[in-house]
Amino acid sequence: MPTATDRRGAYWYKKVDREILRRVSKPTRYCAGEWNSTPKGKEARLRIALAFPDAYEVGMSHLGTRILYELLNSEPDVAAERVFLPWPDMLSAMRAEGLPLFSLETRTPLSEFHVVGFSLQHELTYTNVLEMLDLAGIPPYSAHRDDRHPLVIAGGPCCFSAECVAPFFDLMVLGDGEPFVAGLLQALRRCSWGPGWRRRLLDDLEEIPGVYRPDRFRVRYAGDGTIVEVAGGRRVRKSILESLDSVPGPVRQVVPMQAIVHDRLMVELFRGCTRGCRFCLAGMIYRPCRSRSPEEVVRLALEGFRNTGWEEISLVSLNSADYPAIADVAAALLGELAPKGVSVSVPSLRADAFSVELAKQLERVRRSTLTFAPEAGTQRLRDIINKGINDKDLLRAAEAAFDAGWQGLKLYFMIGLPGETDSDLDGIADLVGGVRDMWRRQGRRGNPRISVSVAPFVPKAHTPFQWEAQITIPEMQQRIAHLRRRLKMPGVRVHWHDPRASRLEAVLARGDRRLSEVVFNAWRLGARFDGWSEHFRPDIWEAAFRQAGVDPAHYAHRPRQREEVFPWDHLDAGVSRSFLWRERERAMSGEVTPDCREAGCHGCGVCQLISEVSGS
Amino acid sequence: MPRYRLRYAKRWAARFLSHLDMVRLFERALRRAAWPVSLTGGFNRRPKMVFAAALPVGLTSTAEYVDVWVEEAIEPGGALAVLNASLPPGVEVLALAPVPEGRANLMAAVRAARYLFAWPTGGEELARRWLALERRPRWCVVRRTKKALRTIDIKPLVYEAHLARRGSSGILKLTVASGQESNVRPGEVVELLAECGEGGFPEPFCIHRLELFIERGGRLVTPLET
Repeated sequence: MPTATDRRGAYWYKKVDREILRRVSKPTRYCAGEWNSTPKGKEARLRIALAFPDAYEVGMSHLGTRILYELLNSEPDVAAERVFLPWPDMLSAMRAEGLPLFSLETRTPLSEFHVVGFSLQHELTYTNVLEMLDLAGIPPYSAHRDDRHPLVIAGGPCCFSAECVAPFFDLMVLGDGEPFVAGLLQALRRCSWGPGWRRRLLDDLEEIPGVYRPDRFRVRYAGDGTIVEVAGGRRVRKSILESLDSVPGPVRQVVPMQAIVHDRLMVELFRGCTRGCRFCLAGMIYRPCRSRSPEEVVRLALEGFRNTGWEEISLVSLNSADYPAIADVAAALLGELAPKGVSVSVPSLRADAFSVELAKQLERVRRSTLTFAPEAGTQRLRDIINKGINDKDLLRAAEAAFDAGWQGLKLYFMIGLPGETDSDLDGIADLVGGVRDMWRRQGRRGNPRISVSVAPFVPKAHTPFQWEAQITIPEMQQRIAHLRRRLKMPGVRVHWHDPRASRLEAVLARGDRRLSEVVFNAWRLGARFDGWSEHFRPDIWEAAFRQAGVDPAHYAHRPRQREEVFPWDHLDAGVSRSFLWRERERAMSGEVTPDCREAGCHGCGVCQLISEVSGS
Repeated sequence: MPRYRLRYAKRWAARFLSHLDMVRLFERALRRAAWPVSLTGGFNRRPKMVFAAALPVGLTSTAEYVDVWVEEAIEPGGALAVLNASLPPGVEVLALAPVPEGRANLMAAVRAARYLFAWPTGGEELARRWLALERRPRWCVVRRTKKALRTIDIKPLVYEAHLARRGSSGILKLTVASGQESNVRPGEVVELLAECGEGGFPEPFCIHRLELFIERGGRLVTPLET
């Protein structure tokens, strides 16, 4: 069982307080003590670290971590504590002083926890995981860990195709975390922690739905670099929470004392989305759509407000305007909270007039930025990606927004989508121009502020575009340059993602286990915080690929054959491969697939999975 | 609208919170405590509060003040207890009293502050440096304004000084100008000490704000003085 090996008592605890914290930026990140944080410490029998491989500000904004924190800490014998990746200045200070990575709540070294659970939200956080394990003194490779070390596990959307980090984890959890937690706690309570506990516990945990043990599987590669087979175990099916109302929502979310990315109470309206955008990983792996009842949403929001005092409540989901009772829920909450100066918001909106109406209703207390994601510039391309909005919707939404007093909009687009041509890029410029015309229409003077974000498309596993090639870096640069030229309009600002980061994301998102060496090399060479443009080091990654003899183009820029074995074929997100291929074919012929909630079942397979699971 | 003045302490990890963090922290704590706080008007409605003087990040204090407007009169003892039960560790309300009508804006009235600087060791060196500093006719510090660097003499803005030594430790208590008209930053005194002798001088182990003074009727008083 993990024990206190390298802890030097209160010595370094004081050292952190008296010396280190006063030298580093934003020391509040490492201090805890926030409202609703739960420092149980040693009194609890089971210690679980919720490790988020990014900065405090990012991790604290993550709803999944908030859910698990409260769920775990509601058990009297469990202490769940948070740990984030310290910022580079703190990392250097800790390494210089020989301090191990510690949890926020009780400053317990990570190596003294029974379980360290990482949340994998984004491919560019993989080196952060290695940095955290290393700083904690935990061997990064699962095979090198023994009974002295914590169990290192992972959850989150990336796990459906995280083969390039699979060797670093003892197990991964596919799908919803809530059902897994129940099984995990049962197994931990049963565990004797005597010699050989690690193997026995892993065997025990393997029985829980959604648990994937990478060490059970062996991959065989062909001469051309593709995969012959992934063998050794049964296909792993994701864990599914059948009803959101059946689990207690988080009503004691930790209120940070410093600013974080999403600084608000979050209430989940529904999980999953069946709009069927063909590029969207979340829209595929979180199926089916499971709604929380409006009464429960209102109850969680009001109770959450009383416990936190937050000035903003966000009604979150993959597409909150789709929630049938959204207007009623918003009205009920605003009736109670607006007089207290508390606002209600939704994270993003569909580009249509209904959404603007909703935004108008919500801005009673505080006006927020309006963000729309048309994703593509022309109807043809939006049909290919199955993004069910048209120019008229967007322009009407813009008009309604300007009429309601908004001075500007934020628009999200992707470049390099399958089938994209120059005319689609010009379509983006035309659309932005059309939005500006809407401003003029009512005789308004000046220009609206329009912020256009451009991200290179990253094909993701388990989506209809998993077979597609990503465009090359020079091609991305060219298209961005073209767009920037066309978008030189007064009041319009263009932001774009670094093509080199998008390429790396594409490599890792569909990578196989051979890439684990690359990730490891990159980390050893100093890569971390790869998702932060100021810390991203493409040169390091190039060297890491060279060292491992791996060609990134094989993963990013190669179109796959229909029958090619994918590195993630043994992981079952519930959506069948035949459905994804069918969707790809429809994409290529420009056919849209309507939402199954309105148009009936398209046979994606996820509902069948549910009935099999609940039937067994 | 009734107005209440709070004196609060900022200690331990809370010393790392910025002024903006503190504003947010109090807004949230007041809502958790369900005080009937008045709101400002406009597009962004916030609890109506006026803080006396921002405390530099890293300093502790037992003399922070904030005025809070409420919709209806509150019972100070009970309200204080409820608010303290809604504050995170490190922030504690020490006193609470109604503000008589017509009293000036708290922030605008601030004139002076008393700080304590403590060094666990090096008290002797501190005394030497303090003597050297006192002999200087001018205490010039450089300040960055929006456009340029400006040098000003802060010696006339130091109203009272008291040096104490206990064993090897040294404690310096200074009452200095504070507020919108003229202001001495504690860090500036530390810098002056560092340049007042051979080699560097360690930063104090802690800097603590002991009291804040406002002007009322031509007299300096503490903000809660009646």
